[in-house]
Amino acid sequence: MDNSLAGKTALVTGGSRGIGRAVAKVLYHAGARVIICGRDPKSLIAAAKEIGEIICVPADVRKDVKKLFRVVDRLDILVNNAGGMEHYGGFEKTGLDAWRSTFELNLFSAVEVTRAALPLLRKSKGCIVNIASDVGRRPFDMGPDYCAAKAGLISLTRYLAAELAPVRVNAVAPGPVVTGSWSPADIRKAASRTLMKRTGTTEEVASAVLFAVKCGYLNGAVCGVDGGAVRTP
Amino acid sequence: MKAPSRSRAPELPLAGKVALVTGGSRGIGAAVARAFAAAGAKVAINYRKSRDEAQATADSFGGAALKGDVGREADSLIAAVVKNFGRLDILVNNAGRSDPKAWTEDLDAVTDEMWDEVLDTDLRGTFRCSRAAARVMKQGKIINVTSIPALTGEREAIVYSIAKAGVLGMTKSLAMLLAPRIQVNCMALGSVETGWVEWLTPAQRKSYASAIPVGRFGKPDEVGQLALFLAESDWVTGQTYVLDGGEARV
Repeated sequence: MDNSLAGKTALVTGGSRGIGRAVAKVLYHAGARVIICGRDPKSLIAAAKEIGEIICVPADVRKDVKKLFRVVDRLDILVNNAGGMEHYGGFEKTGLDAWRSTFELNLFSAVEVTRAALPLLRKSKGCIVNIASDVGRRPFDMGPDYCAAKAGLISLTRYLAAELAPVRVNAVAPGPVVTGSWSPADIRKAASRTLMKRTGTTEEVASAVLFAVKCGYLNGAVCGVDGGAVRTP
Repeated sequence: MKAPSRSRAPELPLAGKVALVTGGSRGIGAAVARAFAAAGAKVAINYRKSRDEAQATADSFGGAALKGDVGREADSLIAAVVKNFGRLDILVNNAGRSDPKAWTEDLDAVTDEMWDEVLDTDLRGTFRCSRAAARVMKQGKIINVTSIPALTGEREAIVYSIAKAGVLGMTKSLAMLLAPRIQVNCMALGSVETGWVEWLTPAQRKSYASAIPVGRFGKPDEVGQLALFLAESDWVTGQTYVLDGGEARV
């Protein structure tokens, strides 16, 4: 069995569900001590039941970062996964409050968590993996605010890769992965924009995160895991 | 409630797979071949001139060494892999020319011979091997090798950057043409401890390394890690994975 992360501590934000849960699971099975945080206590418990002996912290990354880092005592791997689409509309229907809310959830939360984690990550010469999105590389009709926030997260990744060294910073940019309640029509539409003509699995994204954690020369990279939906940098 | 166990049944990820790594006698190619063999694949490496070195590398992991010029003999090379191992699942187009003479800032020093030599191997070889492999693969992976100058340009490497930029475009087009049967990706490598890094003086090495955020050159085994990830990933295609220690950030 893979025990390559034995002795390492990982924090996965939004780790109770979806991609975050799969990431927590793969890091756990590679031997890491895993801390997850999430807003919903029930999902946190369900994640622990599925994965095993992990540490669960009920916390909203938009406002509970201080509280979260009272639990995080050491840190080698930070996965900024928390995020999501709160609404869905074109540019004219997306007001500035919606933009602010999307940026709070998808970009500023990662900034705050990273700032709080940095002293621990510098001490451990650790690494950060940001979960971006294929629409952050090439905008698609997922709302202008969401696309721009994810593009911001990608830019932040590349910026920090230079400034924070030797702490490595990479992004994984997933394409359409069905995690919530998607309609069959939504799934078909999402699958059709990939070359593989299918949506991805949370495990496929988690494998890329594990690779990014383990490969010591990967830094400032944006790892597309999207069935070929986006092929630009 | 009993917590799930961490242990999983040991299973080599590439068990039953056959891989060909072109230009596999040393350096990056040899490291990729070793990584695949350690993951359970049967591995053939290809060489053009260095027979003894290639054979020693292949022997080190129980693989085969196959002679052939990828720009001219791709079809017979792929046929030889199938003859030896019965199938082909993974092709790594690693063969490339590394001639110090082709590294120059003087445009007038670029000769047609340099152009032909570099493009014949790095570009035509990658295309011909990929096409031949796609004919025999049921499902599979093609992994190409490109380099940072293809993305950013490089004063001393115009011919090389042209060839490697061609590989970028070829990767994406092949990914579209061969989906969903075959996944095609490329590794855009920065400064890895092989090839041109070996030509540098100690002072140059120090200066180059200091421009890399992680503060060092990459190791061939780290390229092996990336190649293995791509060889195992069924939902990654048409992608360019930059592996450069954070030097380019593109």
